Amino acid sequence: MVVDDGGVSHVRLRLKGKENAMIRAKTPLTASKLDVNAIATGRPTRVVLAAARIAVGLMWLQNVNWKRPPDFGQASGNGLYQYTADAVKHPVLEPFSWLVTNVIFPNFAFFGWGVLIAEFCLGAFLLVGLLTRFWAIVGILQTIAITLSVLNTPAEWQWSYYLMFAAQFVLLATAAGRVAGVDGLLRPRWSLNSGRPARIAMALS
Amino acid sequence: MTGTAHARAHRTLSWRTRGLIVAGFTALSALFALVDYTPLHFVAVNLVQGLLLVGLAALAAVGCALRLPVLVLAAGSILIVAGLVRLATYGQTIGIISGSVNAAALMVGLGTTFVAIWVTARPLPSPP
Repeated sequence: MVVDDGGVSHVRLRLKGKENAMIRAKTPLTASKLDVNAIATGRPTRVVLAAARIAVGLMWLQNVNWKRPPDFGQASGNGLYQYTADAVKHPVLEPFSWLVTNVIFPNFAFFGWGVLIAEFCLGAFLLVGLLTRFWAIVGILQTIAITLSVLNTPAEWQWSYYLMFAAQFVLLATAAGRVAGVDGLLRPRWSLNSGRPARIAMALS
Repeated sequence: MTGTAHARAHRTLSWRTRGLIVAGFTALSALFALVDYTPLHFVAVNLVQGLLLVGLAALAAVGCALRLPVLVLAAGSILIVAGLVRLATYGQTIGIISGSVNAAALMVGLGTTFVAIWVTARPLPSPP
């Protein structure tokens, strides 16, 4: 017997012995009917998803502060410049080191502002769950850049970056902004609107 | 889905309740100004930013209490503008425009939420 209780599928097999065998013979149970692997969508799951999204948002929020304009540490060799330089000092992927040397360093202030604005938005919008899937993708791309910069830097814990990937893929896969987020508030309205911005917002949320 | 579950799935909070909840979190976020323990110092809030957060949370709460969603919109808009001004001027101290950029990001996020709540206070558009 399949009982759907508040979005959580439970499988309750209450029948026993002879009675069970008789009913099984009349109505054979299939795996699809039982759906024993249905993923829980009840309150505990939703609370955990919202908490994960808020935690990732706070992570970006906390780390945006030390990316300071106007030179982002280029003159003193610290801050964002120092971490970006690690891609050259302790290379992870040669083409990325070449990109840092030949493209990013000559335009470092522009790059710094890009990082600052991207992480500002990641913190703000993952925290409140606005266009969560889009910002999860941006977060994954930013994590790739960070990983390629500092993965081989001494005293770095590589799993920090692997866990960042994992957390943001969870937000992307589950569209976590629909739970206790702005996406959850606005998607019913976007779904009633046939305009292009609403359709884009539906896809990105 | 059982009847109870169906009712539960469709139970939604009113815009006023949501506004009050977000106003509460906005006011509480000013408490980061008092946190002096580095691992939990997620957001660096200075005095001006703290007062702004509390004041605009109060404005939004009054809007919810008096059924005036325009006050929620006003609170959200001011938070967004204040956050963006700090982002654009980050690295400089211009009078009271100072403080961290992560508190500014927090303001933009919370401001966006207030604006979204204002949107939900309006009637739903008719389906296409």
